[in-house]
Amino acid sequence: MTKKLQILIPLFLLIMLTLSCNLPYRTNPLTAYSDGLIQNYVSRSDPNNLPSYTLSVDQTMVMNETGFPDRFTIQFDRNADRTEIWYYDQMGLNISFKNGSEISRVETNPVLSEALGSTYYLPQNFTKNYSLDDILALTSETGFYLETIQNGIIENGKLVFIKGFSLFFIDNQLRYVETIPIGNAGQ
Amino acid sequence: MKVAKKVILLCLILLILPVSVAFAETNTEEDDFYVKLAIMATTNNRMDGVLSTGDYAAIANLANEVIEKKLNQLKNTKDLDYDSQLAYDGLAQYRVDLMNALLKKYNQRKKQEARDILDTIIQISSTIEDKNDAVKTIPQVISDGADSVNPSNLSTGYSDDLFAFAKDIHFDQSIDQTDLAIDTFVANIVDSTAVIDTQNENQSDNDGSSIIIGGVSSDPNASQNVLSDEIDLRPVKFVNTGSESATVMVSEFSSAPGYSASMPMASTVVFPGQSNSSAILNLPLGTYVFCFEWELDGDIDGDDYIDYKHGFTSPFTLNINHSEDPSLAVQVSISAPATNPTNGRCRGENNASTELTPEEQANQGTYAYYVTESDGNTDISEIFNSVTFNFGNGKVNVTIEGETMPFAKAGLNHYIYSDTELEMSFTFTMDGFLYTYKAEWGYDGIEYVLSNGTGIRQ
Repeated sequence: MTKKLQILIPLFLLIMLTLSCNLPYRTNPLTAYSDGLIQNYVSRSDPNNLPSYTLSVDQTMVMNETGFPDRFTIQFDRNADRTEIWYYDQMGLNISFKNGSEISRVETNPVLSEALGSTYYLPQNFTKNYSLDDILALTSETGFYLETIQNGIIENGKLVFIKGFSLFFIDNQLRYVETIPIGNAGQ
Repeated sequence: MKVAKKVILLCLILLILPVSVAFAETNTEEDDFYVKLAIMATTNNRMDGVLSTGDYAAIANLANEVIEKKLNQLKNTKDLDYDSQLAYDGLAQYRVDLMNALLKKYNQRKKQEARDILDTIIQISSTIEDKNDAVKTIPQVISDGADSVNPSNLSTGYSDDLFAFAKDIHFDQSIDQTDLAIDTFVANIVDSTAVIDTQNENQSDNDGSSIIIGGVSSDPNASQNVLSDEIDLRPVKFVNTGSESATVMVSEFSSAPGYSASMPMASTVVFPGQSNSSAILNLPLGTYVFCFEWELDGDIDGDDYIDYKHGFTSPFTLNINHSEDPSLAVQVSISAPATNPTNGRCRGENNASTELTPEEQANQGTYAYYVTESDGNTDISEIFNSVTFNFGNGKVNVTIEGETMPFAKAGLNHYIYSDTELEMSFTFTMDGFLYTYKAEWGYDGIEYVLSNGTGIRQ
């Protein structure tokens, strides 16, 4: 074996290994695409290995008493605090949590509309460490609508719409999740 | 600038409120100020964009209070002479016109607030050149997924209804803040009409068959002209004439003609005697049978669970003429314990019912579940390919990997298992289940493994 081959063979193996791991394609969809509709995107995340959030005692009690929320929002601030609002639209109840502790409970008029359903997803499905790839893997969605937010107040913001969701990223960090269970995105 | 205007207006309103109280005792020029404020608010669009829906409601309350006071003063003299009669009739009619004008402005403002919220959503997409395409596409992406969109059709139309509904959702989030104002506002308008109907002899065509319930005429033809089509909820107050506290919930419901509403699932506890303030349910218009349940003294049948009995009310129709003001809410009486009670709870638990809830039905049988568990430190996710739930007779047999455990029903969709070393519970949902797990370990038995998780049916 020549010296040249001794270099080329490991290089070839490295290239094949890299290709098999899809490393050249591991681009961040938030930065790889311009604004607008993106279709037929294949997530690189493994849905079986996603991190998950553990419901607090308060939240478990609410789940046990009231069931899954019809829809919810989760906000992650710079300090990694997690603020959630669970909307029980049909019941007329909104419950807010800060880092898992219930902080408010507001009775509202029930929203009774055939078009507004209940989200398929659960608050514990989402953590602040999620990437857009992770969420696409979780939802089995292959498309999204992307908008860049750059308005003097928010720098490097990305607003993403997926079936049943709107998401907001700042500097590629998930900052806001809102489920929108309308049409086929609700049950 | 807009903020400054609102601050000024708020100060104005705060200044007005104490004067309002004083004015109730004296008849001064300040009376007219509130009516003038109402006129300003409804004339020549001069206050458009300055007043919020809450402001309109507050102004309506103040003006209505003033006019009602003057009507009461005139009422005492209207039989004396012809001029007083004319003055009374004119003012009564004027109140209707003014309140209608305020309601119109209120609805305009309400729609404007919805548009403002939508504009905000669209505004944040400031870098998008073709906002129309974004407006067309986003609702469809949210509803059906991005792959449902045909890019070549982006400029050729979209679902107006879906787009309108997307707007409504965002608008709904602002309703909470104005609910109280809406209730107060509409209640005042309805009340004022009822007062006019009964007090103004010239206008009255009452045949004597209608009665007044909670300040509102029961005549279905009365006062509908001032009600907004968008408001279709009414408070129902429950009074318990029995001796036991009871939980009241809807058992049967059919929506009123022309309305579409699903069965309300809310419930409330009603104490015996004088109705407690929380014994109110806000319900959509329609015909109801209510179920009320009460606890028995402990475990009567020895199954380790508190036992219940329940009873039903007669059918009751909630209509558009019932008051929206909780203090004037239509009353429904119950008596717990009921004369002919049924064993068990209203919604099936604790009565050995074999009917399964939709959540139980969804999980009945053998499925694969994607289970995520956490003990607070570590998260574990795993797919269990064969989990069997076999529901029946107040319990569910759970078979996982060939091992079966019996869980007893402890609540709606909630089942528990307990022995000397292990406590476990399942709460079933349409998607799967939540579960908790508590196990003793260690020789002294004082340490525990605590965890909870979810299972999503695959």
